[in-house]
Amino acid sequence: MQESAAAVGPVARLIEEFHKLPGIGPKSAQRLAYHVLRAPIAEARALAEAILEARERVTLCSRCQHLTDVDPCRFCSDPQRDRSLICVVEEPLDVLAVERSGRFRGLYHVLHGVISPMDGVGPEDLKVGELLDRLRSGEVKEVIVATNPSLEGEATAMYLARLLRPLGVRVTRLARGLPMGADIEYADDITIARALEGRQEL
Amino acid sequence: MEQPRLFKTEAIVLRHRPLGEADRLVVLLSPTHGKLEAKAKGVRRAKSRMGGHLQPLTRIVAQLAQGHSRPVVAGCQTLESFPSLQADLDRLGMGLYACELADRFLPLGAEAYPAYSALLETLRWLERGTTPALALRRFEARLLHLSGFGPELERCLSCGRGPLPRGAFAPLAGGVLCPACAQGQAGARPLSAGALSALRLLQRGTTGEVSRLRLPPALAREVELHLRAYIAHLLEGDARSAGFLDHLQRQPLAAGQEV
Repeated sequence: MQESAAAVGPVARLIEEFHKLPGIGPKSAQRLAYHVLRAPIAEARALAEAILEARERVTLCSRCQHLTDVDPCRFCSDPQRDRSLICVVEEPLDVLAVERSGRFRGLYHVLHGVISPMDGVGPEDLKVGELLDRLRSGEVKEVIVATNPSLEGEATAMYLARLLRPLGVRVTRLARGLPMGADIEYADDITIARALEGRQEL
Repeated sequence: MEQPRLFKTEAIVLRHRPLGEADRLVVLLSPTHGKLEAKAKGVRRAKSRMGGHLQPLTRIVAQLAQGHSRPVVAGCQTLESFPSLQADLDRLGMGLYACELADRFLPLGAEAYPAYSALLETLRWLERGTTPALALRRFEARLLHLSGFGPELERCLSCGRGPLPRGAFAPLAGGVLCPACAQGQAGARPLSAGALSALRLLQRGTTGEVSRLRLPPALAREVELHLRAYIAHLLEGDARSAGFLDHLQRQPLAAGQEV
């Protein structure tokens, strides 16, 4: 990395490690590295330990495949949650987004990706088999497919619908339409068509 | 040719991938500018005005601005979104396969009128939903021909005898061989008379002629295998989305259903 040429040894290594993180460019990597170097040693140690601890202790929940430090995870072991309902999401961060809404009281299932034929990602690369295993108990009545409203998300949703319907489970999809604060003028045809299909009585 | 700082073009979105925090890199196929990679800023945010227009398998008109390394999408509008294709998993997979082939066979930045119209014709054909597999074979043959990789289908590539009534198809040699020359040629597979004339029609025929073609299943399978072997040879491996199409074929389940 050119920018780190002035820095040598451990400093250069630290900058390079930060540079590997998503969304961190060479300049941000330098800023972060120098911030760590200026901070008290206790703060730097806390950061290093937090990274190591998270990496070593966090695994995938054996049921929902969400990131967790206890297995089964807190969602799966919470007796208050509705076990007949599973919300299927692409990534662990999507669990946090759905949870933030405060409206969902069922369980989750994280696929860890989405079907993307052009990148060579097929259903066998996702946690689909694990989802099928969970449905075999017959406890689950409805699967809500909450993949992103993108082409790949739609493909994954259609695939899951095909796979799960024969099992006698109700398969639903999150409504697609206009987000809060959007401009109808700028919406694309498919979004408007689906917003019309999903219109509701006031 | 010096490009103006802002330019407008019609294009089909071939593929996209995430870039940075909320941006995407989109690969477009434009008739005038050929294949181009453009940066679309902020389109992964829910409130993006452009995100919905820049999904693969959409025909758009895009306003592009020259950036440092690649053009930036300044604005875009959907012209055609192929809703019925996008709502059917099998045809969606086929559309993506066609886009992947276009992406992998066409070079960046070279004018691509014929390839663009071949792809558009294929997507419209898939949208109508009749004989979708034939639409794909037609696209494969046309794209290979237009990108300069078309297989030789008339004369034996070894002895020059021809036009051949039948023979063998040899991906490594780049086309057909007569039965005598095919002996011992690696990867050469027998090519029936029916498959050979079908391949010729797919490559050179008009859309009207091809759309009237009705191949019996065994012949359709033979043509598919030959084209696929040839494409796999050129790409040094199967097209990635072909694996998904195979997966769907192995697992037909309750076909035609959508969420």
